[in-house]
Amino acid sequence: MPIDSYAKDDILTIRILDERLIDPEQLKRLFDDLYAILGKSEEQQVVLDFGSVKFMASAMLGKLVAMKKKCDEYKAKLKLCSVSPDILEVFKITKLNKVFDIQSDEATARKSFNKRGFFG
Amino acid sequence: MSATPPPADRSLQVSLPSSLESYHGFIQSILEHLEELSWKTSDLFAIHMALEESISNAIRHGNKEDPAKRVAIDCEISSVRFWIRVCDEGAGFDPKAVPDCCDPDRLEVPGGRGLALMQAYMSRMEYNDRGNCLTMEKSLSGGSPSACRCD
Repeated sequence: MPIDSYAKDDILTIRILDERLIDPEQLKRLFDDLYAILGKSEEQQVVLDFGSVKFMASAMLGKLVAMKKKCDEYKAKLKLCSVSPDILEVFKITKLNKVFDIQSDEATARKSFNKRGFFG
Repeated sequence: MSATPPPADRSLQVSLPSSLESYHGFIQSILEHLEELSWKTSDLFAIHMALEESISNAIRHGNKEDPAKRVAIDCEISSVRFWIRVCDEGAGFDPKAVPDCCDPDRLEVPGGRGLALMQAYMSRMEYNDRGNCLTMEKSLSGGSPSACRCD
């Protein structure tokens, strides 16, 4: 399985284990596994950890956008974390850094779910 | 300053089959050669992205994975310049007709980001009139990708 996951404090963390996300078949397997875990999970807060990922093609961005929409549909909150500087640049070029909540590391991402503004 | 580009340390022509499993070895060999020429990791990432997007586009959208069609590649590499031409055997397309993926109303569409990424990472990028041959160049004086961001 190209991912591992654990749930704690009502937050599900999913780590992507592949270093390179390129091949369409590989991406299909990855997202089949991601949707399977999300489908079984009772947590409404999800952290997707990119710490192992060194390269990804644009096809991955499209699949991430679809996953974000699915999370929105089910009122689940999705955050990304541990995105390498090179891959963060990919998000910035395509302006998807405005679509995704990207946190520096998993601990920061988990903490940020608990922050509340004036209006909750 | 001379307008003549620096001579290539290595020049190669390859013909790849229209299969999405066929080209990763070629990309790896280019990246290894650039690494030997002391290109920085961030530049290698940029060139990897341009190679991945251009060749997979040629196979998927250009040749539509037709096994009878090939992707022709010319490439020149030196310690300061990377140049490549990727040609497919498809009908071609009009790159100007591709919607801007950075348009705020289109940020969440599933595809169409490959062109923006190649444009951002390369110093120069252009299609031929038919739209089936893409030429790209990255020179070490080409600046950072943010300079080309689509905004």
